Amino acid sequence: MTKPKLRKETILLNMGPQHPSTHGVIDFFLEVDGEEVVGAEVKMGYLHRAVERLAEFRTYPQIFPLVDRLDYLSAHHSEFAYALAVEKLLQVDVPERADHIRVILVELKRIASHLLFYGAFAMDAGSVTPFLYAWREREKVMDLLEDVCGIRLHPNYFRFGGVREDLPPGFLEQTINFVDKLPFFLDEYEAMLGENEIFQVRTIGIGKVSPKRAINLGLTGPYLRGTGLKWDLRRDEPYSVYPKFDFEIPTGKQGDCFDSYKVRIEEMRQSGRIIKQAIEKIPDGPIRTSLPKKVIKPPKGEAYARVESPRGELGVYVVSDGSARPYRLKVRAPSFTNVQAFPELAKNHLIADAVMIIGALDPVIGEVDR
Amino acid sequence: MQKELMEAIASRFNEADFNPTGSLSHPVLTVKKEHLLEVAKELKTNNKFSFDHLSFVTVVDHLDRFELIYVLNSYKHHHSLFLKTNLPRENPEAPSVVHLWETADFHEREVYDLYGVKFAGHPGLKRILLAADFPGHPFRKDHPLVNDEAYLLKEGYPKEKSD
Repeated sequence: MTKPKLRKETILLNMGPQHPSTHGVIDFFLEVDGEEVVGAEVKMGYLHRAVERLAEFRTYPQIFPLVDRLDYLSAHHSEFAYALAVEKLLQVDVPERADHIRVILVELKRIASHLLFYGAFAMDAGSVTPFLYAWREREKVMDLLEDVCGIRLHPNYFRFGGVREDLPPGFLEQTINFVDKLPFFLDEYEAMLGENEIFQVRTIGIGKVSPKRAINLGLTGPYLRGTGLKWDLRRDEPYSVYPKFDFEIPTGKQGDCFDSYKVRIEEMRQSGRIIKQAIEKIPDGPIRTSLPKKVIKPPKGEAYARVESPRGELGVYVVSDGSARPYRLKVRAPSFTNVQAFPELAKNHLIADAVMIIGALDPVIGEVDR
Repeated sequence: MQKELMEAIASRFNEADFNPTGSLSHPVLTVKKEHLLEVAKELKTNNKFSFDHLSFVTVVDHLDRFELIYVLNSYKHHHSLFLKTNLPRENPEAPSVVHLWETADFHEREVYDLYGVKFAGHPGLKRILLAADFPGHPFRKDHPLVNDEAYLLKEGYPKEKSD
């Protein structure tokens, strides 16, 4: 009697759309051989709200609340990119003070967003405590932002040619106070998670990618800098008042999950530096250029503006036909492009490591689906 | 920097219809559909340009034609470009650039999903954001914003086969 041949086959596994480690409603469709991922596909669209299409039916200022809801963890950046694009069309200048206010808020939001990444990433690795620590500081940042914008997540604070309101009294002192303490918090975080051996084993060498591959896959943001490529739009394609400030661009070496984690921690320190310099240099003066007409009608044309959001290159492309509503609005969302690299990064890793890779790519689903 | 790039492009692609004025933010290169792949390859591989980063691909619906836009950037030279081509509104089809920039994969699928532009040579062209059986391509200007049943049930409305 011959022995029956052992049948081997791979299993198709839906990780999502309802899964705690996907950070939202997105489906990572895995093909697994035992515990190993041999193939993957990303299925999205569960949160598609057709924001770009809705924008064609709204006037220019009415679109600020819409773009807020794309990347809801760093809404200031979406507003920033949109404001810059339309300002290019309108060809208006922004007063110095408004530019400084914008930079302070945007960098505060970057810290808040990276803190959330830190907490969620630690949770992905199976450690709950760091999340609570990160939340402690994130609340402080959110309180500061609430003082200025009146709301925590969806500020609707930017305006064409400036910002909505001036800073409240005492805000700058409180911010300096927070930024001064930030390096100590970050040291604490590093001691808690980054220097933890279990965490290092879980992240070093996971999701490795070379700079060349990363560029071709369209990766941007901390994951790209983790590969060692020194590229940051704040320095390489300067916008607003960033050229005035002195800051470094942290990079990694291997391009794995650990490097992207390290880059984010270091970025928070640099954001703190930028905020401090901005507060020192903030001039008095107007906070908004008054536009000549009440109804904003940019001249015929098109413009693309991009900013460095916590997740990468966030750009807004606007086409105007001269009316009060944009003819076409397109948002280049970093999360949408970054998740594209997931099948390649996760290949030949364990399912538990795929979870870490999703965490390191840090997609916000509102932005993936738009 | 932008001026140098425009001169280099003008000297290399004299046969392509180059728009020297550009948009408000970027220089624009408009080519015929037949030349698109050739020009894209040259822009990526020629050391003078080395556009190694594709920001996104999108379409603007001009009612009489589709304008397909590729936003290209270079990490080496720090310059950017809008590469454009025009497609007819009936059965729009363009060559895929996935083999040049793998980023184009999702972006081309999105354009196909929302505008119905087909990309020849794309490795897996199917809907990305909408359900497979969604009728029509909702970002086209003539698609109603609200779900109008009478419109959707109209005879002869193109129904996509599920993929």
